Amino acid sequence: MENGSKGSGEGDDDFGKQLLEVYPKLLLYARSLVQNFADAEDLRSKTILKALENRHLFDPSQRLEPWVIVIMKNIRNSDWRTEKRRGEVGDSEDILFTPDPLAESRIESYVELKKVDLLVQQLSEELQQVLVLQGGGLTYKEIAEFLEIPIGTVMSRLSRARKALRKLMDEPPHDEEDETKE
Amino acid sequence: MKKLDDETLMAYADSVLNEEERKEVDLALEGDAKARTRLEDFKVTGAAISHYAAVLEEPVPDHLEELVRTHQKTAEVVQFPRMISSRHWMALAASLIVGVALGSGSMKYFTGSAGQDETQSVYRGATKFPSLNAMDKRRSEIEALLSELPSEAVNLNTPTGRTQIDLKNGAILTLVTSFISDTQFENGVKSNCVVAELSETGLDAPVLFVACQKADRTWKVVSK
Repeated sequence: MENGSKGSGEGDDDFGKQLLEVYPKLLLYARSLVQNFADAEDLRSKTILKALENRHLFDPSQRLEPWVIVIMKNIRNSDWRTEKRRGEVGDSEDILFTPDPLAESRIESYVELKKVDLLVQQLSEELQQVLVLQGGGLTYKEIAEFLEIPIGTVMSRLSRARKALRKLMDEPPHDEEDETKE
Repeated sequence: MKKLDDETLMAYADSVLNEEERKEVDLALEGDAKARTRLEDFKVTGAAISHYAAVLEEPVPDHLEELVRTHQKTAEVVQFPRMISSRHWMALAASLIVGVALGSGSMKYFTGSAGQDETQSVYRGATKFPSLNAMDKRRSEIEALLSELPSEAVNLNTPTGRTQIDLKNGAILTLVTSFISDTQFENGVKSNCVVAELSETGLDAPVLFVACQKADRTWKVVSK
């Protein structure tokens, strides 16, 4: 590309800065698009690589996060669906974040997240999506924008998802009702 | 009186109603014990799913900062391997970095934590790559080079480690294990894969590709 010679100028620095800033949140987005954190980590890795590969296509006057989300969704909607068979991957036992000593102070949160995620995984995909995103702090409006659905649909799914989750929190895992997976 | 449907109660529990709406719900709740129970359920689930926010506290791995900040927009990047089926959630923060400097002559490798290069051994087996422009042409050379490395030089199971292999002057190859995945390729044979970044003296555009170590410890470069 002729005009791809900006080297490591300010635009590139900002690209890298924004990419690093959005890195943790990408795992949340990825988890909403796939069925467990192991797959989510794969999806995030692919997304980052793809973003780096296509960084020359990024318009620095725009925010990076929506651009990266499009990349992630494209990956998810193209080859991912054919590569992944739901339930084939994602060790539930492995959903502890990291042995990194830096994470020790947060381990309690991770254990609780593991417990919740195991329950959430029993719900249908569309209910998982809204729960994960809301749990990560997104507003109804932000969830609607991410999933490209009306806000009313988000609220409807969320209320159903949370009622289903509430039941799962009280009942044995295999005693769930209609809102759970087949 | 405000109708206490599920969406309204959830919105109340999530504290997103305006003042007027909240008052209406408060009023309706006074005479509706079942609605109060439903409200509590929404509060319970709201607290439960809030644990997903822990994801946002994840620190950015050092190697990723290196990778992103040093990578130029003109970098050539080859495609991540297909059929990734990672089961290595624990590898989230692993940051083993293997650096290979390519040239002619002997090759050193270094291992240790990020930021502390410590020479541990010297490995002989130089390779000189003629060009960085045609990744496919270099694939066999890179595979041969990686396969020649002693096993202790490329320990994919070492978290937060750093290994550097010095072949005197020439190219630098960095393998990033936080992206380790069990990859299926070639009839379902599984391999451990890492993202690799290859750069060479005089070039400011590193090449990204994926290198996978097979069960027999030989390496395969996965690209388009």
